[in-house]
Amino acid sequence: MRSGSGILGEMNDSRPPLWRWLIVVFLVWVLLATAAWLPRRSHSDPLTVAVGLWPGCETLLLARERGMLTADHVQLIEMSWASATIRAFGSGVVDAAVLSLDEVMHLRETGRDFRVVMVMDASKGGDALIARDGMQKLEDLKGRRVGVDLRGAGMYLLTYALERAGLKSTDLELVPMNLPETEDFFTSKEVDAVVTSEPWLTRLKAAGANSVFDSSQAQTPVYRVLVVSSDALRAQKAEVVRVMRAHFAMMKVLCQGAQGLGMDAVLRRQELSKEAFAGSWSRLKPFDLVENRELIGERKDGLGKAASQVEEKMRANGLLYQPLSANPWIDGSLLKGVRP
Amino acid sequence: MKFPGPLNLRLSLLLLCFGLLLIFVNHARNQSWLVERRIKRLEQDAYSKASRLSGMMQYLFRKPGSHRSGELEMSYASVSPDLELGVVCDSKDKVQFSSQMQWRLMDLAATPLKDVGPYMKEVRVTSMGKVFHEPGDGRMTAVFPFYEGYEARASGMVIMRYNAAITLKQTREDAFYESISQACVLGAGCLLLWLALDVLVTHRVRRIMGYTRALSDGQPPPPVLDGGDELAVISQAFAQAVEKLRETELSLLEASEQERRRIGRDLHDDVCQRIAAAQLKCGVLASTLMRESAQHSGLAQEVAAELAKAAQVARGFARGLAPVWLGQGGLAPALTELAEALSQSFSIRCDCDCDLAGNELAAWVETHVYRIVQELATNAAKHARPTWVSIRVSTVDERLRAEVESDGLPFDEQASRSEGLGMKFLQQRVRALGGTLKFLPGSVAGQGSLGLCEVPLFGIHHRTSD
Repeated sequence: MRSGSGILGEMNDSRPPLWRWLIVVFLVWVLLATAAWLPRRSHSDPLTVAVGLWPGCETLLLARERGMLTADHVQLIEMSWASATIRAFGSGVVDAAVLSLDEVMHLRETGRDFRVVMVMDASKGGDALIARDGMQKLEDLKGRRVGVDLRGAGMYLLTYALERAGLKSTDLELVPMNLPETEDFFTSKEVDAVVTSEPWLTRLKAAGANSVFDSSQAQTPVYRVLVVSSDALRAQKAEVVRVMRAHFAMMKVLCQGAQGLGMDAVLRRQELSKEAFAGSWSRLKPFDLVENRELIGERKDGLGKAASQVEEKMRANGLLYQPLSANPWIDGSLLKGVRP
Repeated sequence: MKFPGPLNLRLSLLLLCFGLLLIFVNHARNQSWLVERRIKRLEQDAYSKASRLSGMMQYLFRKPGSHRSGELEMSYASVSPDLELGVVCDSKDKVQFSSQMQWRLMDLAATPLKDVGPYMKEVRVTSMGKVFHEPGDGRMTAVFPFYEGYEARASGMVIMRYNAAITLKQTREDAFYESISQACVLGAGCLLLWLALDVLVTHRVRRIMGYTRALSDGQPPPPVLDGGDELAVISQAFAQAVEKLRETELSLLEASEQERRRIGRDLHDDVCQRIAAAQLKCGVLASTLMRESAQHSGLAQEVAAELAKAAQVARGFARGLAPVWLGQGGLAPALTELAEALSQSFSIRCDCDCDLAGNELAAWVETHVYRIVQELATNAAKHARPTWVSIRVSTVDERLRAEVESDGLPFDEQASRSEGLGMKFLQQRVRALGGTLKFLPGSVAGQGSLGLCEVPLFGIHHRTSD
């Protein structure tokens, strides 16, 4: 008698279906991709913006007082020294800063990657060369000690003044100083004249100083712009737009007269009375959103043309030493995200 | 604790639970550590900045005209994102420098730092700077004195208030995101483990289970596992054990069959002959007594008749135990004889139709098929109280079909499976053939049943020439 066990092993093997494995592999891929692509941080650091005491910057300070710029989104670093502001932005200590256009040219010399996203204002007398009583004309300054911020808007303005008077910088004794020091040096009579700006200009005029030349007489006005590092522009675009929106909103408030919530803080910062601040504010021309769009994006004789003139003037007077970076440095795209 | 699902799912879920617990614990520890470290660093930052500022202010306050540098120092100090407000006061508590310029030249009591009076009092007593922790998440105030003039009494004060609530919130979010990332990796790992276990363990264990279930159900078992791992070794050893048991079973069946045949032959060759001889002698005795008109001649005739019946029964038994035709290609005559014997024994109609279509079956196959049909038909005749029994054996498409159908009571399969030695032997023979046995309803609705044995025919089932 024989066994029937030989039939074992002749049955087909039933393996799990392939689609089940494929689903599992797909899920594994999804989970690993999620783990890899999940951002390590759900937030961004607050945008740090360096602002000086220039009255045009008070829009941002007023916005902070009114709760439009909270510390978790935007941190304003108050720096009265313009040279400190440009140094802080140039070294990356702050993400954004309010600078004059000639200071922007200095930045372009360094090759720093940044963008001008907004023109805040143009100085219409807010920057001035002031002298003591008895020096009524520019020509009177010949051989005198003149205090000026050599790396700031003051030096740029002084070139216009000297040009008008037919003088050279060597005809004066230039005393380098920072803007806050102009008030101290002038009142202590250590210098005969200073190139200063608001709010020190108003205070010095109130003390009897005599303006012999101001920014309203310059061929190309002194523009103050908001510059933002390209890294911050990529990572904190929403915060930059928030700053721009706050500026335009508060600009209207300040143009309508200094009153309302937060104005006391502005006046304390400026160390000016309400009336004096109004006078100070009148010596600048703020640009609203529509004007900004024209200046930065649409108009051919906008900021680009002004920058060329500034560069030409600075280079002719030996204020620029190196060729400027060819990188794009104006970006008007963010203005589209700001609603009036 | 019971987990649902197969083994691989249970193991993967266990790992996932354990992993999530680990991640949770790690998240709590990590977050706590990060927050503590952040607060510690903030404290160090507050200490170093306030200390440096106080030293600088002492120098600047003693040099008239250089106080503008203080503004610059305060500007740089204010770069810290956690600094809420920093001020430098003179001996009259008038703010000289501030991180927010609006507070310059104001009385300290008019600023947001008006509540630091107790700190200043303590610091002025000791002339030692100190960082004071305040209620709230990461709030602290550094108060550091400096000598404003040349008096031996600290009078000026650097006060810096820090609020790290936002930074700490971000730190906690960072820790949370890190934990989410870890959980995703763990989930992927668990899925991969599930897949690996499914392929390497569960699927193979299922095949072993399928093997045992097939054996239990009398179905053809699936192939054993390949490879040399533990499960494959278990599977192969199990299959070998089953093979040995089956061989033992077959040996027992063969021994039983031989014993049946020997008893049948002995019954036929010895007992039947003796009964026949006794019947013959009784017939002669009855004739002699009848001629002598003896009184007991009738009784002798009755004994002779009983002996004839006994001989017939004994021959029937002998034929049942050792069918003459089996083993010689005589399955059909043997079954016909079986049908006749059943018909006579139970006084019912019993038909037989055997058509092997030219297939010559091996002797052991003929024997098993005969015994299976014999068991099914006898059981039907005995227990179903039938009026007829039909035996049909045929081969179609290399499959042998042996059917026994009857009317009467239906077959109770469940009862027969659990009890009855005859049914167990029947199952043994079906297994030996590598076939299946099913019980189906009879062709007459509600009556009788059909026992169907199907055997796939391979080479081993056919008679070989040698």
